[in-house]
Amino acid sequence: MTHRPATSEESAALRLLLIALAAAVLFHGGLLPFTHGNTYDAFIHMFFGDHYYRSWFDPWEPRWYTGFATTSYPPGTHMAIGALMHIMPLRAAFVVVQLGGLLLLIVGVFRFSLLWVPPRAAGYAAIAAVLASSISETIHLFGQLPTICSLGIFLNGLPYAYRWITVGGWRNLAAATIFAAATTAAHHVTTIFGGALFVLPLGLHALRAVAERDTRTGLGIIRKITRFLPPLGRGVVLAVLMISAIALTVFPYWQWSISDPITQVPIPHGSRESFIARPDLGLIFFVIPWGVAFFFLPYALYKSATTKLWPLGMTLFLCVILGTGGTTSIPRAILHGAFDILTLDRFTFWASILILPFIGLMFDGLLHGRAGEVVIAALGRGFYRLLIGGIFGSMTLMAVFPPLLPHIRPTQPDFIDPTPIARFMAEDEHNRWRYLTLGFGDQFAYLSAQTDALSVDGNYHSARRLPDLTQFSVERLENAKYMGVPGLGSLQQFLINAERYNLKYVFSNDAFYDPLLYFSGWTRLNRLGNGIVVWERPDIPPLPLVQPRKEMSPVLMVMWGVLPPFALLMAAAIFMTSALRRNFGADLSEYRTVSHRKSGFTNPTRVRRIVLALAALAMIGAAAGGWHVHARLSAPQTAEEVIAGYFNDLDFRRHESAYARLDPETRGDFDAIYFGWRWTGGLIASYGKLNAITITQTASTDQIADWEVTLDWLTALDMRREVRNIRTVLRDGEWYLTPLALRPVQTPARLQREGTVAWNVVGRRQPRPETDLHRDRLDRPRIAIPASRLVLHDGRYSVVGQITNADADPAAVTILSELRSADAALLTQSAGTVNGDRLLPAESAGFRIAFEGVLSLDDALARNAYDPTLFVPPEFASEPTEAIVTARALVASDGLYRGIALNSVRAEDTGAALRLTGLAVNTGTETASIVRINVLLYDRAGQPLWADVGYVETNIYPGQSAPFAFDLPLAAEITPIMSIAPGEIAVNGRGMEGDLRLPGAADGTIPLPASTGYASMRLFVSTMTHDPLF
Amino acid sequence: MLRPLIIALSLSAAPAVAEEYIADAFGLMLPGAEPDSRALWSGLQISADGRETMQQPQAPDAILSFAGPKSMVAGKDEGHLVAIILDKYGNMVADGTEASLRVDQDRIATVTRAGIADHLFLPTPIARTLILGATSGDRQSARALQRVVPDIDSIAPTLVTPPSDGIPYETFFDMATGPLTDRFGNPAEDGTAVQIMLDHGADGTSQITATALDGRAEGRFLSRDFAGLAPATATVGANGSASTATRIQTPTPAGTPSIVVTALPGIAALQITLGPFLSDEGHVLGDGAAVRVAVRRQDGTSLEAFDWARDGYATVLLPIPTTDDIAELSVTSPLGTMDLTGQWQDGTRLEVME
Repeated sequence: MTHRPATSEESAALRLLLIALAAAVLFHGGLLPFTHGNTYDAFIHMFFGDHYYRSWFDPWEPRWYTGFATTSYPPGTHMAIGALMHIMPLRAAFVVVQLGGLLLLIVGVFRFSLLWVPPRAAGYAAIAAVLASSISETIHLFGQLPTICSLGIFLNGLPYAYRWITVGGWRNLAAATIFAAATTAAHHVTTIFGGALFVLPLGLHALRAVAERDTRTGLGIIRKITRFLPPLGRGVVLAVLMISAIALTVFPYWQWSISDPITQVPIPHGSRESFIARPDLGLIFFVIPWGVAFFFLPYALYKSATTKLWPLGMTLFLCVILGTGGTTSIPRAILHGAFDILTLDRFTFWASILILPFIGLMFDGLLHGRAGEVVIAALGRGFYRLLIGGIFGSMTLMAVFPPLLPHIRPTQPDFIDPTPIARFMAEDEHNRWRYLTLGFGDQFAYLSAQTDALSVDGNYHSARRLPDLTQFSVERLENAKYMGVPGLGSLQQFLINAERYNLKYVFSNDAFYDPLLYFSGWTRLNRLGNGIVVWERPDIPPLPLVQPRKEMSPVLMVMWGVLPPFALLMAAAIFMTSALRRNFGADLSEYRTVSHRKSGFTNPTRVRRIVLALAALAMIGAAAGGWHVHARLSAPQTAEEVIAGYFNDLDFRRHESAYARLDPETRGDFDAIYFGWRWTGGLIASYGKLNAITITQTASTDQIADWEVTLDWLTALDMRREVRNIRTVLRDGEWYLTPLALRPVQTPARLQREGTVAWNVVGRRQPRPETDLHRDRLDRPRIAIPASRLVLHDGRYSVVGQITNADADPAAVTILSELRSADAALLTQSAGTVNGDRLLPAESAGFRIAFEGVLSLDDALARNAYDPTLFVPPEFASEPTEAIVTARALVASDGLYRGIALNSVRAEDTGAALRLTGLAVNTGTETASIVRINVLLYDRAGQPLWADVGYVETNIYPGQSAPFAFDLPLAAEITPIMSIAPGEIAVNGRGMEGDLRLPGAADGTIPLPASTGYASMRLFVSTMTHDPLF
Repeated sequence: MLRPLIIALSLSAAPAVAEEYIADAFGLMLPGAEPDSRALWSGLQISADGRETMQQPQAPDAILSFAGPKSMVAGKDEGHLVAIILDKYGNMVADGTEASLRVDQDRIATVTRAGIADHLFLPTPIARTLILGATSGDRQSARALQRVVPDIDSIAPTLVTPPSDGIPYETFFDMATGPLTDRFGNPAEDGTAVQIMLDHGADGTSQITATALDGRAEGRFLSRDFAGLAPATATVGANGSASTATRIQTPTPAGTPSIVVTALPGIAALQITLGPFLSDEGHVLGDGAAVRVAVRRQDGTSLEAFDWARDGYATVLLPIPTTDDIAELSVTSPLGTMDLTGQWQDGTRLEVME
């Protein structure tokens, strides 16, 4: 390799590189401290970084998913954060590493471009990288730290690979291998795909360089071919060493992949959708990452076809096609099964990097070359300046857009200060149990990094191990509501069977889950200083002192702790040495001209005409498109669209918009309508999410149409259906809804007073530091299960029974049942929402424990996003024949509001069901947000046959009332399998006391019509009294 | 072949090293590793030179008392007071150490066995809080509290007879129990649930869970959407009261409500305001009373609309374009069902606004 003084172009290239680096620090470095909190992945990487800060060599991380191995993700960037955390806080460490990765990437783009285009063009490519919207999106919207860092490392290693292939040299080989190892340490996927997408075209390029360097003439065909054998051999050696580096650097990762393969339902990803059908996803995964660069694709195509850049161009266009996701069938045809596993936005990102040399070349031509001269000659200097400024300005705008997007359309909840939660978990030995967050978004990972407490959830779905998590396509329990019923089903499994997971605390940032928490026996403790509500499940056993963990060979642990950082340090040393020595690490002598066009520019008029014609065509096209969009946007909505829009507006609390859809001549003023909306709360209005609207026309004239509108609401408890009759009127070509009658019922009293009883269980909150003394403890209340049965209904096994509090104190009850066959225990489940979870002294309620399984991986249903009626029958090795019941209780002090009277409860046999109707009246003094009516049905022998619950759909203020109606199965639909003998019932860890006189089917019950097959029913009303939401 | 190899390996192996351990009441210990504190533990101790000594516990220094269960059902449950007595080194005191246990006003003299003194007792069946404690030597335990609670199983509820002239319509009214006492006369604990039910016959059943307070319970109903005779019962656990006759007054109409119809041609609907709903009680129908308007149209189809009375009036919106389309009109309220068809047809008390 020869060294010579830099030419003016080479000096210009280095200046451009320095400008690019400075701009990157100013632009991205200035934004990063403020944007990383809004990204999807930043907090996850911080959590991993925190792991290595706490324990560098032990890859077992117990804080998520009941424990997982961090060998499931390459550690390079995370170890960098962990190392920096010894001198700076976590978030600062993340910002520093991300910025360092970005600067590496800018230099890498420069060095990579230099292999394809002249130096100055490479400098412009570096500047284009700073303004690339894909990089901006990856950093400021996605927070993908390893992607940026690994690509930066990888691109900086490519010149060594190029040199090794073209001229050899063991130093080049060693450097190329070390950079491959370092890339793998940061992110293995980049090395694997980079090898195919970056190295292969570079190899072809290098072979061509070998041919060009060979100045011999008159070679025969054999000699012409055999001269490529040495570089090809070197390429093979390089490939072998790169693969070895990939394998060795993160060997524990590969071992984990083999021993713990990802056997999960694929997580849906927006990059695999059709961007035409889902324009919102198209914006995120195609429009933004491409940005202005998309318009340079024709130029890249032209240059690929006419110059030696064709290997780069071919790879570029392959990535362009794969990046279109499910928009066309081509990516699936290319990738086959890998299509459902890969996130295809990665290809768009790589394409946006691969096009940078072309962009640099184009800028160079426009600013210093023939292209600029052509534009000036044809269209004048003013247009030329406008063109250059326009391109620069539009690139800048597109680069700024991703950091702004979370402020335009927030994807994460407002920042949640994790300190109060971390402090709560550290106090009073709360960290002896697991916790769960709801509604935190990706900030859950940041919280996890602030505490040593354990969670059943996690934010890294590849490491999920619990079947309840891996077999639903639910990425996190945390965001269960966005996954509809399957998501909530998965969450319910955890909240109801909390004991199985030692789950005792839930931190909720979303009141949507309140009904599920409350009615599955959770108690709202308090609201922390950061606004987060703490829920506690009583009577959960603490975590065992020694928890199971997956053991790993010490050799692998040392490898994991040493090899990746070693590879990174070696690569850094090579990079720094190279950068300090000569031309910022770039060997400018290697650049090769792209094309040599000897002929001058002779016909500006023709160019002007062509450009003007193209411009005219573009303007006509833009005008036509604009008119089409305007016509679509301004077209009057159909009546169905207006109805759907109205209910969607109400769902999202867009009250002004909903009001605007009401008939302006009859709707009255806004305040009156708004009052009605605010006044009505409850399970649907306050805690429901509109899931589907079905609109059926029942009558119509030219001006008026009547509709039956079926609204399906998703609540944390179940799906609820509401049917309304709506009339729409046509006024001045626009459809409107006629006002809907809504008039809250009045209370007859102006002042109510009543005496109430309140309890205070002192529990663990004591004015002393010790938290686990026996004097904290109260004996368990005396509870009893007078009768219970194993029954079969609709193919589902359930245990139903009656629970009675025979104690003098209120009881918080936990009931479990174990289903058995003749010779084995099959499944244990807790009572869910059909339960008398908080009972006053002498109070009785029904319970039902429904046995349900989790989805099988082979089950096609698991792959569907949504099925409201989904029930998963448990898989049994043998037929269940019997069951045992276990119950225990603690003294309860809240959730005991009994101010709800049921007026005129009627039970009617409709032929298909037992329909229960009545009026729920709040005769107490607290607001009843949600009222649950627990029904225990007895057969003619006085034995419990079925238990179920119904909910009053609206909230009830004191003195007011709301009707309720729900259906229960007829007795003929229930098949009793066996009565559970008292000896098979354990209460508070022992057999039931025999001297209790417990209420039976005739005590405090309501007789039922004989046609229903039941003899009587017991009603138990419980109420959630939290402030209703508006 | 294998045997010589094993012998050769055994001979070539280094001599096995056997370390000396002391085995005593507290397990194995290396002779040189004897901690000072261990010498203070009571029991058989063997020193490094093989000398055996019996270390005796010291005088009582601390007393831990445990009492259970938390609440004893009067006349049924026994209580158990247990005192663990320790010397200053944490050893259980010697067997036969004298101790005095306090249960309520009683002092029970006893001696320890294995460092523990205990007493099983059946308290007198009077609901109260017992104070318990233990004394040994010059040391005393912390105070323990234990409750004797009423026997819920024996509480037989009764209901106070409501006013004979009936309970007014659309008002809150309380169904009160008599004293809730168990077989020993102990009043029910505050918060004990009492189920109170009103039987309306074919019109269903109303119920509420009342909670005991000061030995009685009051369940509050709202006399809305039911009227007439409704026998009431109260239940505590498995014990029910006798049925108590209860009557909710049925108001009588003092005239028919007038009808104001506002045509809303823009939406092809009629807004019908009915009222005032006059009663013989000296006031209009109370706010919140349910009003149902039923209409049969000329084509034979039926419509219903609901509202609640406010200031004696109720207003409903019917998707009917013209007044001529209504063939029959009736209204149901606590005043009963009134057929307003004639009034509608002959225009009496009917006002139509466009």
